[in-house]
Amino acid sequence: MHFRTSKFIFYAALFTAASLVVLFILLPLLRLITLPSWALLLKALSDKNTIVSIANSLIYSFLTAIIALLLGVPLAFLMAKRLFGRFEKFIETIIDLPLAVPHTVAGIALLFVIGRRGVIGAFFYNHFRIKFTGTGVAIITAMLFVSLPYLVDSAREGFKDVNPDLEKASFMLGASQFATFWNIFIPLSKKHIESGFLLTWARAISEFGAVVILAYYPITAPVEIYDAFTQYNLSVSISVAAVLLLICLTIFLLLRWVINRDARP
Amino acid sequence: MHALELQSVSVTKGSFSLKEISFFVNKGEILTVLGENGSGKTTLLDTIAGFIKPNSGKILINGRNVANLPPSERGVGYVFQTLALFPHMDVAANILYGTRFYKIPNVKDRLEKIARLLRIDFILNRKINTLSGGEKQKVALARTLILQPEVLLMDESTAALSPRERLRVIDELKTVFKHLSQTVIFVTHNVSEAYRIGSRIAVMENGRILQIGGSYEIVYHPVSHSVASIFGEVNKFEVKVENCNSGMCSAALGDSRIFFLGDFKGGEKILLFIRPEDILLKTVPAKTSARNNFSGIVKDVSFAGPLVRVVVESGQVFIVLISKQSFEELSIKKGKSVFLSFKITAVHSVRLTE
Repeated sequence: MHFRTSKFIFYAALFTAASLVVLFILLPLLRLITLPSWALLLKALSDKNTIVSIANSLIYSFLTAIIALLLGVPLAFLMAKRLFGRFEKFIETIIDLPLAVPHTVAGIALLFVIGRRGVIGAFFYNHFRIKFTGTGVAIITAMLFVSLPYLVDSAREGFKDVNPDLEKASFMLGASQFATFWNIFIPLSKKHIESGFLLTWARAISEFGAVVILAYYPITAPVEIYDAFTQYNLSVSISVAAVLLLICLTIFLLLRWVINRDARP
Repeated sequence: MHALELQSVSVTKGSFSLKEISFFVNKGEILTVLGENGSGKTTLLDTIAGFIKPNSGKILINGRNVANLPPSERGVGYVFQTLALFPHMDVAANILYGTRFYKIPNVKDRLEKIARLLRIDFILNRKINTLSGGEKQKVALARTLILQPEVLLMDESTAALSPRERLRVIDELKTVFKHLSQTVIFVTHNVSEAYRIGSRIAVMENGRILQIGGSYEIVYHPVSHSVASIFGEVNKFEVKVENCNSGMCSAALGDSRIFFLGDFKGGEKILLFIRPEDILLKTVPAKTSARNNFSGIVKDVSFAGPLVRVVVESGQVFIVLISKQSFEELSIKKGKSVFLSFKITAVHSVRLTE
């Protein structure tokens, strides 16, 4: 076969496969956004349950991302500076473990920690009559467990990218360890930390498996969608799903913007 | 009292070590540390700066032992090979970075003065990634000098510049250092840079300082083959001394005899160096006062920059550098008979200790 013809067929085949992948992702999402009529969407949005579920999802996931930021950045810094010594690989594996565990499994595992009979939950219940399951605390715990790795991994890469000479220069110029962290490492890893924050937030919003096991109520959007779906209330399910999709897309586009912001000349 | 003095400082860093380093730098003096990559130059600077703790020895800065102080309390400034400018700050913020950690009066005045001195006062608001190599170099220097360090360390910081820009920047740096009477340790692996700075040179190899001296002393009185070869290819002969008579020695070399200055015992094994450019090459026996005369056959001819490198076999192999003009006038080619002559003072002798 002629070389140019074989090249054409080769790339035509690859482009066909690529188009299928793009369509596969885009089609259901576009269909979902265009499916509910405006009237239906407005009706769903005027429903108190829907509003509450979406608000819960947004608030708890945002709080999750904030907690992930406060806990994850110090950890990421220690990892980037390789301060765990021979435990480094071990710690790295542990941090990424939630990515490999099925989310319902994570939910069950967490239940035996913060549930009424869990190792921590039992203590609070027996001494203070405080119950975590079915509260915002449980939702945040579930969300945090599955989304923390995104922030840690992203921030760690950011810290690793900082030229070690900059730290030495900062010390030479009189800066303390904290001043160096604050004035050099944080600003230079800002993009990584921001994108880690947004990834964590998006992951937390979409979490269903672990959340539904620890807290059916207060209801979050994914649980509300599932709830309506199992009660044959497909129109509510669709409307909430469409709104949630738009919110997630917004966060996703924000993420792309953050990542590309300074890349443009 | 010296501005900086190291007293038998030893350092271990992985499998590498600095061995018993001792030297001093006077106030306002520039000491050039010259050595190949991996000779321990950066380890030496990191030790003086305080990033590496020595196993033993003293580091005195104006008489104060700083060996156990953190980097920021040593009064040392450090300009890194990568310059390590903070990319997220503009030029002024980079220069002022250190001033917020020390109580410095009239920071604005100091900034203005140092920027004018280095002629970077017109780029203070620029972003780092818009600067030329030479400008970056000066910003890194200004950022360090504004804190008025007692000793300034410069680690191959001109390495990223083009050869022409490099020598121009070095001339400028020299002027600035002189103006400030700044004590400097200037590290480089570039011989022409070391010459250009023209101060005392410390030659480093394998974690040791082999020799410290003026550039003349190091070129013409090298203490070892390593030092001699730093300044390019050198003729090296291992000979057995026949005898020495009031400072004048002789030894058998190839089919002939070589004469040189020294104070050795008969039978002692020594090393002789002759710089290739110190040997006179003629096609007829030279009528000079030179005591050393050899005859031989040209084995190889090649260009070495503006000079011509001629390999001559004369029982021993000599390498000779001649100008392009004599190369053409004498029509040197392979197989030609030639005569070599050089003065007694062109031969440098070292006891065989290596």
